[in-house]
Amino acid sequence: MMRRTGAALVGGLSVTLVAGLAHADRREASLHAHMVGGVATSADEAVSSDATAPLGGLAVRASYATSNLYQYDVSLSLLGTGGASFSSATFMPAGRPPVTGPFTVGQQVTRLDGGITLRFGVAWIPTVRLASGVQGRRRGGPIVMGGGGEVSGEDATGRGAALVVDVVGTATVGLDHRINRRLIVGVAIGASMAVPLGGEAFRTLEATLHVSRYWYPR
Amino acid sequence: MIPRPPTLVLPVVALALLVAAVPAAAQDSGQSRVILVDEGGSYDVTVHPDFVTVFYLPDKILKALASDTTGYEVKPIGATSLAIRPLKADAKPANLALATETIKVSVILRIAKTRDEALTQVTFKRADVEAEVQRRIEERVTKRTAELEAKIAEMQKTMDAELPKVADGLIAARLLQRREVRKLNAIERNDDNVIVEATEVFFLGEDAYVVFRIENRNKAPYRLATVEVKDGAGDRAGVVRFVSDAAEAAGKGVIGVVRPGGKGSGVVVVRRSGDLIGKKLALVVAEPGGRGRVVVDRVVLR
Repeated sequence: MMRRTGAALVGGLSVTLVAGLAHADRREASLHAHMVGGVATSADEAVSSDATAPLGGLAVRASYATSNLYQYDVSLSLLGTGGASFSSATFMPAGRPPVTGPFTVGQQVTRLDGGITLRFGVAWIPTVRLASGVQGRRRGGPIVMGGGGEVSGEDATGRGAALVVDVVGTATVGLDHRINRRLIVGVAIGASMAVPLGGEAFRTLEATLHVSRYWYPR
Repeated sequence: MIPRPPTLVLPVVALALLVAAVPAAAQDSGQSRVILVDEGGSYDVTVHPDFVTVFYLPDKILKALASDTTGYEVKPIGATSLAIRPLKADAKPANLALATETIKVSVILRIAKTRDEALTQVTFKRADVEAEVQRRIEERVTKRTAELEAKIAEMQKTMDAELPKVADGLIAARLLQRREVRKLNAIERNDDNVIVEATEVFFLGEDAYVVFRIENRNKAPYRLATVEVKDGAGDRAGVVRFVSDAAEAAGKGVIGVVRPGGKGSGVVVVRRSGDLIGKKLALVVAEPGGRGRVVVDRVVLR
């Protein structure tokens, strides 16, 4: 009889609870490790044209989902560019004769951004990520191809390395695949655009390959 | 409708068996035979020199004449029985004329080829008397069955009326003891994208009603077959109820179905949950055969 009573109670309770139901990826957290490759386009104060250089680096990202559709995340990227080749410019070092010629500039970027990733699937998950943040960019000194070879260094060119801070926005589309309940791998392509705070323009096109661990934090 | 208690069904079953058993008494079994006689008739009986065959007649024997007294020995045993024994293994068939106060029969005695074929007991009964006995038995069984069925119906009616009151009383008593809802913070998924979340626990007296939800993001239906609440030592789950928006009905061995992309909600009762307070429990749900298992661990009742 007690069992019947319990069953009746449980039945009633179930009926009343059917309306409010769970979300799947809601409450899932994740940690992502990214390999980043691409190109970076930057401007330089010495010339009017932009130059492009290869880009590479690593990134880590952490996320937390409050809905099946999207997750909030924050990402830290460490990127470096090859030497961007600019057209000829004249550098005027103090106390030395001017140096004229095409030059290259390499940069290192540390980017911290936060945003939202929209997720449109379960096992195969198309993603769209929008984020904004700040990045610190160390612009190297120019390496000038002079008549007698490379000329570099602040003493020789009159311009050394400089640290630039940008406000940056990124947009990424990608495709994730859930291997199991814990592991997701994915690829993405994206672009970032820096709004320089006193420096030059800096844009990137990036492709990423990432592996992620998902879990339910409590 | 509440199922009938087995204790009340048993007498009916017993009576039914009795009814079934009565006609069997008039049937042959092994090396005995029952012969129903209207007024008279002729019947074959196989005998064997290794056995004494006894004839039981319904009333006093008035006459017993054997056609071959050298081949068969016929001896009376009391007023209503005869013992027959072949004197020769190769005795030819003979007849035995028997007359009692109510029947007259002629029995053809034959030597059986094997011992197993020989009859050792033959009972002659009056068919009309047997029919009357049978009728009376059936009449009494029918009457008794009807009485019991009426009694069962009455008890059923009483139980239908009383059970809700008993349930209400129990619920009220438990509410007075403890009534509390606590949030649970436990969620897990399996590799097939089926997510189970233990959301709340309702404490009602000593019992805990753990509410869980299942979201099936897989492409195949999730057929919930088992729900366990493990405390490390064993399964503490009691009654389970589950509802969902699936059109598919739960089949044998299945508690409920969650359609692909669908959701469902369930409750599992943990009786006498007092000793589980504060312990880390695991809510384990699975499909038939243990497939699709989801283990929601660290479910803590407080």
